[in-house]
Formats: sequence, C-alpha cells, structure tokens
Amino acid sequence: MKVAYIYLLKESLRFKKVIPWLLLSFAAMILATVWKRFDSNATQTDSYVNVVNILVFRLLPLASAIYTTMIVSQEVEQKTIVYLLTRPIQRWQLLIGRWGATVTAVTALSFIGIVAAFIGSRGAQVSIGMDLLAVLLGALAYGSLFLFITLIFNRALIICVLFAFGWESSVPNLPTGLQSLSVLAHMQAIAKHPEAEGGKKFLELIAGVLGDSKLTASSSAFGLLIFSIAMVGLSCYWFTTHEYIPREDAD
Amino acid sequence: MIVIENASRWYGQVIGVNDVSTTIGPGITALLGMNGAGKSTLMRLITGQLRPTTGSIKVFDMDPFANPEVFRKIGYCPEIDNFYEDMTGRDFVRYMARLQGFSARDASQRAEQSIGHVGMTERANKKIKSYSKGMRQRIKLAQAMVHDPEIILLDEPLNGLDPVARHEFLEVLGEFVKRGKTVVVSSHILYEVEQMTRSILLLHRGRLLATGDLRVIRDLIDKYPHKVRIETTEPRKVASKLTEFANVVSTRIDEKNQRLDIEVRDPNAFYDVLGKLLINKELSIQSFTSPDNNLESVFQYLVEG
Repeated sequence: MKVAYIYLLKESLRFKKVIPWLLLSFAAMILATVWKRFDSNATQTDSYVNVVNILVFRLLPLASAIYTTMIVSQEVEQKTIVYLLTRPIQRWQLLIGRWGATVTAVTALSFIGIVAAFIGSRGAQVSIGMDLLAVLLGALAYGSLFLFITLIFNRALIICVLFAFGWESSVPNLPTGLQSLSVLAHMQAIAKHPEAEGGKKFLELIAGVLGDSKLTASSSAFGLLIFSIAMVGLSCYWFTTHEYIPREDAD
Repeated sequence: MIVIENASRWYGQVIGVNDVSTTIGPGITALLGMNGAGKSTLMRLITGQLRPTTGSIKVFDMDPFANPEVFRKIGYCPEIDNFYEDMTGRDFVRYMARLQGFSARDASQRAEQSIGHVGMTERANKKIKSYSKGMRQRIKLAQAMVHDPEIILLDEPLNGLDPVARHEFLEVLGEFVKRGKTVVVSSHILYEVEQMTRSILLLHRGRLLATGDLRVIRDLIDKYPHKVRIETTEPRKVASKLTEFANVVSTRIDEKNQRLDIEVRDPNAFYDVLGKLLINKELSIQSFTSPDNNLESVFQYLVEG
C-alpha cells in the first residue's frame, strides 16, 4: 500500500501536473489582492472568503476528478493496468494506497490556494484552519465518490465534471433540505465563513451559499468522513471482484 | 503447475477461449496460433486478470484471479507495448520490484540483476519513451523476471526484436529453464516457436486444436506439397534445373516472367539441393520465400483435412 501511495504521489506532484494548479493559486492571491476594485464595500475578510469560495472550493471537485482518474481509469486507458494487477499486492491495498496519494495531492494543492488567498487578502479576520479542514474532508469525499464512479463507468471524467459543475453548482443553492446531498454545502458548513457585508447575489450563487442550509460544522464533518469511508469500502469491494483490462481488449 | 479444465471465456457474444483443457509443467511450452486464436486470453486467464466464464484454471492449485499468492510465483510479460513512458527503464523495473514486496534496497539490487540479464544496463537510465521496440521488449522481460518467478508467461515476446536480440533473448530463456522453471510463450510464427521449444499448444479460434510435439505439426506440413516462391530473372532456366529434382511436384512461371512458383514434397531436402545449387552458382535468383510455411496452412490441414 505504501509503495502504491508513494509512487502515485510522486507522479501526482510532478511539476508538469501541478503547474496549472499553482498558477490558479497565484491567481487566487492576485484576485484576493485586487478584490476591492470589483467591490468597493468588501472588507479584507470578504476578499478572502469570496476568493476561497469561488476559486478553491469550486475548483476542488475539478482537481479531484482529474486526479482520481489517475488511480485506475488512466491505467486502463494507457493499458499499464496489467503491470499493477499482476503483482502480489491485494487489490484493495493498491486502491487505497493510490486513492490516498491523489487525496494528498489534491489537499496539498488546495492548501496552497487557501494560503495564497489569505496572503493576497492581507489581514482577513478568519481562521484558515477550518477552511483547511473543509478542504481535507472535501478532498476525501470527492475523491472517494469519483473513485467509485471511475471504477464503474468508462470515460468517468465527464460524469465527474458534470457532477462538479452541475450538481454541485445547483443543489447547494436550492431553498430545500437537499444541501445535505452536496459535498460543497458540507464544506461551506465546516468552513463557516462570515457572511459578506452587502454581498452580491451572483457571487453567492457561484459560491453555492444561496440555499438555506441548516447543516452544522460537526455533523457535516462527520457526514463527509462516513461518506468517504463508505465509498472507499464500496470501491475496494468492486475493484477486488471485477476485471480490469484495457477497454478495446474487453470489447 | 498450471491446470486448465474445460475453460471457456466469452467477451459478450464473442468467444475468446473455448473449452480448453490442458496441463502445463516445467520447460518451455508454446501457445501457437494466429492472431485472434485466444492466446492472449489464455495468458490473461492464467495470470488472473480474467476469470473463465466456465471451467477452471489453477496455478499451483490456486485460483489465480486477483490472487497475490499466485502473483508471487509468476512473471508476466504482456504483448502490449505500453509503459510509464516518462520513467526510466531502471525506475520502471525497480517500481515493479517494489510492488513485488521487496524493500527499496532489495528492489534496486534485483532490478540491476534483471536489467543486466536482458542486456540493458547501459541504457536503463534513459526514459522508456526514447527506447526502440527491442529495448522495450527487453525491459518488459526484465520486469517479468525481477522477482525470479517459478513461471514466466511471455506474450509474443519476440515481436520487434532483431536477430541478435532474439538470439540473446532465447539464451536468457534457456538459462531460466535450466533452473527448472516453467516458461509459457505465445507466438503466431511457427519458425519462432521452433527456435524455442518443441512442446506446443495449438490454438485456433479459441479451441485447443492440438497439443504435444511440434514435430507432429512440422510433419503434417511436410506431408502436403510445400510452396516455394522464387524471384528470378531466368525463371525458365531455374525451373528446368529444379524439375530435375524428383520431389518437385509442379512449377508455374508468372506472366511477367520474373517469378517462379513451385510445389515440392520434401521441403527440407529441397532446400538442401537449392542451397547447393546456389553455392555452386548454377542458379541465379534474387530471393525465395515460402508462402506456405505459415500457420494458416497448418490450420487448414488440421481443420479441413
């Protein structure tokens, strides 16, 4: 499991792979710095909260979707899966090791984004610790959900991206109790960002905080953790009992 | 070591392997068959990547599907030419050794040994994407041998190797077998298989058509008139000379007067005579090939009689 973790983590953090995310972090810092130009009433805290909500939280599922495909589906596409599945390592161990590597990579990149936004906002009155926790649990939840999707569907990235930008864009904003079905809504509940003064509706819409959420930080954290464990368990079962060979060979 | 009992494998409506039963023991055994015969499917069944739809497969008395105990004892060199292209050959083999369960230090040592066995030591630090086909084949073999398995399965291993590399490859296999190991190798080229072993499993359209000694197949080929195509500027002269040889059944010259097709009864004897005539410069020919010397004709003989 450790070997699978280390090798995929190294691969995930290769400079070529992380450069887009580092650029986005840099963009987050710049955006947090110049936020006041778009919204003169915004405080430094508002700048930070808006940038984290819009750039870091909203892009987390995209990063997670892209990285999660590296666990199995990319290996199947590249036909290198055979090298992994003919080694004396239990399939579930292989899966958990590789899943852990992608979650670590996504969390680390998101952390950089949060710290960059914090630095850019220059003096936001927030505890970034809760944002880091939200990102960690969000990365676990998205990672485990997308892992299962990639195991059961071909071309799963499309489904994951649709989930990230369809479901996760709309459900948290609905005026119903459906928020508990959205990872983003749980992340918002954990982060507990202060409401922006004179906040603009369209920004709240993008950030997914328009809905009337009753979620609490502790229940959301617990919920995301349990969800992640359940999805990873299900994925391990699936991966252990099903065949994975290159698609055209299976056809 | 490998026991296959009535194993069939379907891919939806298509059958990959059809009711195959056989036992494979130490030494080199070749899976011989044309493309699509079911060789790779059988390899995947033995290496536990696939499960048989019906029947059973046992490797060391164990079901190989997703079974780490089996994977400790087998090495698999797949037919695919896909790798982690940005890795160096050395890193790739080391990675595979690590996945076998070796410590970082042991994995490095074993990787060096294995890379040395396939003659890649000096080129192992280059990225795999820069490798030639032959180098890729060698590094693939190195990863299959890195843990010194009891059984090694090689799917079309000679593809892309030049004659020198083939010779070296066969020597490596020979050493492996001398240590009492089992080698299962697949190929669609009869000549290749003849260089490796006489023990064959002949597959055709998923079915096991024949098992045993390759000489049986060779004799079968030799029983039927064997076609030889000769490119020459003097087809009539060559035909006239060759018909003196008793085993020539028929000759035919093409319309352009550049090619001679002949049928012979005893190909080995014929080639001996042809060689002598060429050495003595009694014949002038550009090239000769045997369109008949392939598996397709064997299968025709076996299936259609």
